[in-house]
Amino acid sequence: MKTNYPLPLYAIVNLTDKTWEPYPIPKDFFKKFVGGKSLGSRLLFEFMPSHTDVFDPASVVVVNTGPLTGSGAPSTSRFNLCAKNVLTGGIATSNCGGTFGMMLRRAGFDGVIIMGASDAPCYLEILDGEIAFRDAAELWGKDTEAAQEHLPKPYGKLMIGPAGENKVSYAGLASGERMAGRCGIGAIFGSKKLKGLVAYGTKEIPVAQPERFYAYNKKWIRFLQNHSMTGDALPRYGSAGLVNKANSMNALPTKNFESGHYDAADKVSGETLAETRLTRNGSCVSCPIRCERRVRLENKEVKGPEYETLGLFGPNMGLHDIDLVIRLNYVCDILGIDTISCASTIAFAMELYEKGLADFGVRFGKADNLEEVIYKIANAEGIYAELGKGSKWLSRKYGGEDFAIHAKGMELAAYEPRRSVGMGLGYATSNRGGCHLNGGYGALVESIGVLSIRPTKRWAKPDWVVFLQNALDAISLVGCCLFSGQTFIPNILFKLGPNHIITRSIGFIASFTGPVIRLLLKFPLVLQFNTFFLMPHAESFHRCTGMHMTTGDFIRTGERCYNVERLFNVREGLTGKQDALPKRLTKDFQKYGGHDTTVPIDKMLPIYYRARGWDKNGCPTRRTLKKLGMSDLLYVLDEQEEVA
Amino acid sequence: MAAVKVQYRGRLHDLGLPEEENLTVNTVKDTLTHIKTTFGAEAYKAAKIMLVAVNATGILMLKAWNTKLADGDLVQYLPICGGG
Repeated sequence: MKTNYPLPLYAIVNLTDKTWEPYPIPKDFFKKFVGGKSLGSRLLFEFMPSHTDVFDPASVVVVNTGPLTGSGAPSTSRFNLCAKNVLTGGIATSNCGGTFGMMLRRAGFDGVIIMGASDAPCYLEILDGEIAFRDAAELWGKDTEAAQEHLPKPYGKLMIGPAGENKVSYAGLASGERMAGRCGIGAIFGSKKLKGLVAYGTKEIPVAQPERFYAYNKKWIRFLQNHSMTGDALPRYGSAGLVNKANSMNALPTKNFESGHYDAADKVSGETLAETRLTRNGSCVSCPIRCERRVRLENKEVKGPEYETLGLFGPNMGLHDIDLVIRLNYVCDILGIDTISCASTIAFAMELYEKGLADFGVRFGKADNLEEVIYKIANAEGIYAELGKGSKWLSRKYGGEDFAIHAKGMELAAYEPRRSVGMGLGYATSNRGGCHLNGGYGALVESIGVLSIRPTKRWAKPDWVVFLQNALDAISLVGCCLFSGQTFIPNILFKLGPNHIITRSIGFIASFTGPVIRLLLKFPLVLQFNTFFLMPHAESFHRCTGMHMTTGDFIRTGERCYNVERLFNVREGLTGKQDALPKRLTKDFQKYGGHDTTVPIDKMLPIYYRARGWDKNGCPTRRTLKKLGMSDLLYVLDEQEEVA
Repeated sequence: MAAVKVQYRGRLHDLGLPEEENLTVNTVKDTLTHIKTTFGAEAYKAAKIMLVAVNATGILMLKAWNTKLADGDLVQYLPICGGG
């Protein structure tokens, strides 16, 4: 690594004795794991003893950034949180936009490793290279909006709400109006009596080759603006634009994933949102895509709902009131709750009632008490505290495991996997649980994008899923938004449209490309070049840090990230048995979707494991770890063998 | 011939086409032809590359442009979107 780029500087913070010390990231760690979720997961091995309870003071949270965070490259406001997952017991990673990541770096730190627990509410103030422990007595009990308003405006902020304070299993953190929602990391903050972090500084964010870097970014921004997805579809409709498309392909979860089609879906669609509720677009710092929906809620302008929230608080509950979804989205954000897990758990409770198994007062098609229920969940009131533990926990107590829609304990996003079987495999194998992004987001090339790789067929899907999972992890770990990766679908296909014979033929042919993708996975280093058309992030990273990085290296870095996450799961006792989906998705046909709509997980999983270089228990083999330069973690496999 | 309702969203909405109109046609292709003859080449070009759905089911899951229509069907021209 011949470069003047500085090694990342982290801070180790101990909340128990209110001390902190700087921690320069070892060169080898930086070279292999780079930043974000990859480096965060690796650091958990160093600082968190195995099988630590998530709420034990010894539990560790890593809040960190990637080298591109705040660098001025497009769509790079992202920062990341890593910890043990409250819902699954495996790895937790949660990614967020806003200004906090950039401010943390300007304050002189690339990451913070938080351990211990405070005896009284506190928050961390990180200002120009110094960290102070501040009393949060006045902030405790406040929602995320009020808590942030209480602090100086220029600060980058990251705060939990009442849900985190009450250790709701899917509590997240808010940074401005952006959410690091998934995996329950907000609850870990609550258990440590840590209300949040604020950061501010004036330090320059390092760039190794400034002129070349800024010249490349200019071209990259133009490329993003000229691409139909990032320059037109996302700014125009945001992710909300997926509602009608998913519905038209029977991929929109309806009534707790009973089916994938809802007749009145258009009432909660991105088009309806854009035409009737949108006040303007918003965006994260340095992002030319501007996908954020700004909408009016009573007398204030707020962030509008994303596709997931529209789908899961809409059709998945048998509802289609767009104003209600806007309101519930806002309520979840200020309470510090993940909308996906919250809505999905409530939908499960609705079906529990229909099946006569439990009654939490929630019904399909009934909207009038939902806001009250969400407040009670956040405040852990009475029986609603049980709803705050997620659908897996509920199904174990009340039954209904066959239709509790989660993977590893974390609820699925709003893509019906029986109409995107690759997405189904992605959900099942996702290291953090039922996540579409950690799952590779196969739905984008199967059912909801311009390209349709035969949504109900399993051919080539395992190989595609591995490739996409690696690619998305790579984009995330350098500090970029995943939306910036959607330009890998050639613009020409948008110009031809989904109904054109060429687009349809490519979708058909792609379903036979398994062997080609597998070869690429085996020898990613054949991609010894960089191009805007595949992964512009690799070249931008190279110019930012001065480190060698081609597209092939970039994919390999993503693969390393996926394996270190998986190894954390293995260390914490998760096995291949947890790479599964509920029976509803693997054995039952979609109610209106035809007789080829199940996820053939048993047939895809062995091929997926082979493509990954994992054994039949879903554990990376020694050979795979050595290939990825992770021999220092072989001891995890030794420990597993001893236990076995 | 079937009496159907056709909705125009996205780019077609921007080009000034009505939000919806009632047509009497045989197939989805007929609605596309109608767009060309009534609203011009630009609207036709935009419509051709959009997602088309009949009763909220994409025509890719039916018989594409040759999908036959029945009385009361709803044909929608929708934009292609992305997200995550």
